[in-house]
Amino acid sequence: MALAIETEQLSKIYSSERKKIYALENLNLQIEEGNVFGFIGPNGAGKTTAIKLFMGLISPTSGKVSIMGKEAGSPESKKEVGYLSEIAYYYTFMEAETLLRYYASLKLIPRNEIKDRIDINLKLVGLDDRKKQKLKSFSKGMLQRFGIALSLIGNPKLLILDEPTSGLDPIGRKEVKDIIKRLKNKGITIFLSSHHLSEVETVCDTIGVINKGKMVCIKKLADLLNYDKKVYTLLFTNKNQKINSILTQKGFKIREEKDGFLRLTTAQENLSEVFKMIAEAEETITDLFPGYSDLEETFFNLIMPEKANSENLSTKIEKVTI
Amino acid sequence: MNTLQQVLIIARLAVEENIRKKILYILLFFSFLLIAFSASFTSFNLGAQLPIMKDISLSGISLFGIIFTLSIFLNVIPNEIEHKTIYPIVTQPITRGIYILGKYIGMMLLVAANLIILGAELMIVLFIYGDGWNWMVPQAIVLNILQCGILGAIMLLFSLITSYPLALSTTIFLFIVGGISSPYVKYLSGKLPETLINGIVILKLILPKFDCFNIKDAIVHSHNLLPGYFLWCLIYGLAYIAVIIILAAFTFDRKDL
Repeated sequence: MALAIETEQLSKIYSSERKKIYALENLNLQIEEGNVFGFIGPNGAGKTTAIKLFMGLISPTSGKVSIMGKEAGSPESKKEVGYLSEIAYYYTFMEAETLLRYYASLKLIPRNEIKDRIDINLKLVGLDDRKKQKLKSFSKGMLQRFGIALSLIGNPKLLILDEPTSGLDPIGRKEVKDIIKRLKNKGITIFLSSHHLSEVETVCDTIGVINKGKMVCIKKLADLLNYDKKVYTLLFTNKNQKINSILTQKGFKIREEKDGFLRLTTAQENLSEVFKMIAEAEETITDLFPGYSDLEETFFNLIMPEKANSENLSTKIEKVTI
Repeated sequence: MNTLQQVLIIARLAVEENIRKKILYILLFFSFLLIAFSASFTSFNLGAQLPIMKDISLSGISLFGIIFTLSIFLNVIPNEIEHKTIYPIVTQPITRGIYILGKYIGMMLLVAANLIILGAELMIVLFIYGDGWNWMVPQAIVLNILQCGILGAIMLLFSLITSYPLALSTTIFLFIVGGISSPYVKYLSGKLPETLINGIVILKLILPKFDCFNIKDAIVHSHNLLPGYFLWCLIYGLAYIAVIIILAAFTFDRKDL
């Protein structure tokens, strides 16, 4: 299958008088067409830098990047890409429809197709009834949805979304997430950079974790959750309301599920001890599987294993090396 | 053809964006008043009144053009970068050169439109005061537009490589040095240190000859221009603008956004 994004030893270094800042270091990435790729990492990890390099907004210090087989930043590559920046600023004195018409013309979309494209995309993001409204009257969520409509106006093969739900309230986040799901179902290749791990988890097939400018790992979601074979997650009942305190006293971190069940992730060697304590407390184990239970847990263990061990989710696990 | 279409779209966006600036209307309003009431600034008889009216009005138009050009070119692109409104544009299938050219053309269209309005007003005022239809005024306006075109291009270039106070002061300095006429340099040569005069002479070789776009004296004293002078100025101005815009596009192409 053809590659939508390909980077080779891609680096971006910012030099100041005293030191060099490695915003991105030797990134090697190959994302196939049709994939929905989640790009996660803490603030300052290099996510936006990588995206800016893909879009030709900044030049690499070294290495190569190609988008849809073309040189990144070239008009040919940009023709096939839709892009939504982290914070989207538009000419807010303009009406949504007028501004979209300008951008559609810049994309060289035939004049007779522009109106239909505008209508279809505004409908997709739920702004079809607002097309005559000036952008300055839009809420943050509406502006973000407008940005998605704009990124889709050229029928892109690849959609690059940089923190699409940044700064949105839960309703706005859900709306944007639903749009991304719809786009995924349409078969568009999506590169999604996000802080919201739950949203990445629900829409992405493959996840890339970046930290301090370096790629920590790239895996299919299922493989990523299961990347540490020495760790198990178990779900168990809490009928007698005692087991939580017993395990906590022993240093295990327990999470309460919405349905009243408890969840614990622990190293393999602790399993027999945990089983014994659960049995003694007359509780029942309802599920047991290898690896972490969600992306958030995995992310913490990959990025900050020390923190994860001390105050977060997993317990007594060995330091993970990928 | 596609490139031209994209340049024109960006130019239109630049017009729509800048036409809302209040400074445009304030400057236009005062320049309009200056021309309309230029006759009342003098109590000479009709023979002496017309040259003074032409002098005041043409100086006013020139000053309006310079201030307006500097004000709109000053930080138009740095502002777009700062506010990130540039992102949705440069991520479209265009080159950075197209963006620079489109922006430049859009803003120059605004400058030109305003100078044409003021020029038309001056022609009407002169007609009312008995000068007839003075066809040198349109030539003066075109040369004024070219002068602003060079000034705007320089301002645009400097705004891409330095902070805007420095860009503004450098542009004004270059404009003043470029505007010193050769006879004036000769006049200064005995009064200023030789090194300074040599520096001015060398700078004048590279800098645009802004003084050649000023035909106010010829209009005021009803002299004719030398044959081919207007055409020479036109070609010279356009060539100068083309060189600076290419430099600006080249600079912008390497700029991290």
